Amino acid sequence: MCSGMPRTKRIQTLMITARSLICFCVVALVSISAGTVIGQSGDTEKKARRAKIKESRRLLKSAIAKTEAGDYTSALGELDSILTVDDTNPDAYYYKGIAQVSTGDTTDAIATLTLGSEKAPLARRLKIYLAHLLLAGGQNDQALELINSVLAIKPGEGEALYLKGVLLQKAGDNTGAIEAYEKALEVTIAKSDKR
Amino acid sequence: MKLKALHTRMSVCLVVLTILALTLAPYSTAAFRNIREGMLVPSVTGVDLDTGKQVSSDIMVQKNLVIIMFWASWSQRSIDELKDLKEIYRRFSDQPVKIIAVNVEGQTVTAAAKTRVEKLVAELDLPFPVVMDQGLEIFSQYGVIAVPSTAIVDTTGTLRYGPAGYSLTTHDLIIDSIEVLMGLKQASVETIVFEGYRPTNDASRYYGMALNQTNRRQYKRALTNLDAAIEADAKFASPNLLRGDIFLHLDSSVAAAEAFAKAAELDSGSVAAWAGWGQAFLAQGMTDSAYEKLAHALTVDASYTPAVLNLGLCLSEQGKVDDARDSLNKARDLNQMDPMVHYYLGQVHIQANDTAAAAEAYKTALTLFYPAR
Repeated sequence: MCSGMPRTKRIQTLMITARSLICFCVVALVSISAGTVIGQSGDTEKKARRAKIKESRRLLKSAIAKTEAGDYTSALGELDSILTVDDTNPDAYYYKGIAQVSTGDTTDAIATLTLGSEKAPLARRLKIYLAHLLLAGGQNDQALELINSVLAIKPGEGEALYLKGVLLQKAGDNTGAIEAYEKALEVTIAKSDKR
Repeated sequence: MKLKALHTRMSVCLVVLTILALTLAPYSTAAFRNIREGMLVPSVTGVDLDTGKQVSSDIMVQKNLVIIMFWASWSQRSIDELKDLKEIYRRFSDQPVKIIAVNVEGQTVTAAAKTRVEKLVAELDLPFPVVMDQGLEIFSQYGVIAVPSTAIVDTTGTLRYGPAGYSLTTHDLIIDSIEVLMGLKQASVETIVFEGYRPTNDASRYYGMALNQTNRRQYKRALTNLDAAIEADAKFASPNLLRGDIFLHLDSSVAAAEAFAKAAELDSGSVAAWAGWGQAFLAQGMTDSAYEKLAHALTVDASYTPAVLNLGLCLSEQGKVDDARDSLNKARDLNQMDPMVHYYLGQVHIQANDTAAAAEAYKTALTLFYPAR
């Protein structure tokens, strides 16, 4: 077939093929380099995020140990460092609250835990602890609101049911209190039996 | 009619006898469910709260008589005993007598509780080591029934005397026991130093393995080792007792009753065997038989909480609400930190239509399940 084609035509065809090849190679090279750059920047972000999480975990572990050892000032410093980089970390708010209560700053603890419950609305442990503090301070309505929000997330949350019972008992509703306590005891005893 | 009257009279007599037993019987017996006098005790290891040094009862018993005392800061009796042990430690300072205090604050020890214990230990200025039993592992190994409880262990590592609680006479009995065991005086009628039954080494080994497996809830393996322990020493009561406990856990109350009956036959002074037997009957709904065994258990040891508790449940089943309440109140006084006692007390208050008392009892139970952080 080629042998029947005029020479100039053949040269033209070859030139077109060569140009197409060059164009393809250039496009491919550009794409690969761009892809690498994009991939590299994605990896860097991931790595930074992982490093941040790792550091937060390390600090949290250290802060918990310090809280348990009674070194609340150092613990509070580390917990604040976590919250500076991750203001939605429920554990950091929770332990900060504990450390503040331990140093006698219950008002600050309530503020910390309230902020934590807004930033991490699904954190049940944090909300329950806050409800305990509110109850102890006589802020029963706020405590009930929190308890109900925990029970909306998990209706079988033993400690929340217990606190609901305490609130009802305080209000003089012994029958309602008993109902809440019985539910709390049912789930709590079943859980402790499993353990 | 005559039969009914006789039954009522007998019931009244039994209740009176039980109350008498609760009032008059000594408080210084059966501190541990898993070990009896004559048996080797599990080792106690931990870090001394004061010095931070490692403590081991295994090393201490090689040359000393060792007093192991289980205590908690929430128990006033514990604090009384710690103060007295301090005095006993000084009194026998020229003798090979060592003391280890094991704090059994609770299943989980919060930061606040740990601080409270450390503060109390510093205040008491105890001259002997104090270790914290995190997760109540040592507590479970011994099967501590009441807090405080004391184990006096001789140089072979054998339990020689184990008083539960701390009554007015316990202090003197501990001193008497030490003096007798040190050869400083002859044993008298009043002195309680039990020789107990010493099982064969093989039986002890199998029983020890079964105890560990039971604590890890490996019941099938534990039962195999208990069978081996019984085969190695047919007179050893404790494996039968533990078999009974496991069968109760597995809801096999008929097998449990048989195992407890065997334990009681081998060791008629084992309050745990009689109480377990009663509990097994109670689980089968045989309240009259349960009552009989539980009442007998209380004649052996009136302060044995599981017997007092189950007697309350038995009376509640029989519809004797006031007697049930009395018994459960007694169980509560003996072991205030057991949430289940408060729970059952709440149930009996409901039976008596006393909602205010029921709410309070339930609340206390839950407070113990969810301690303040």
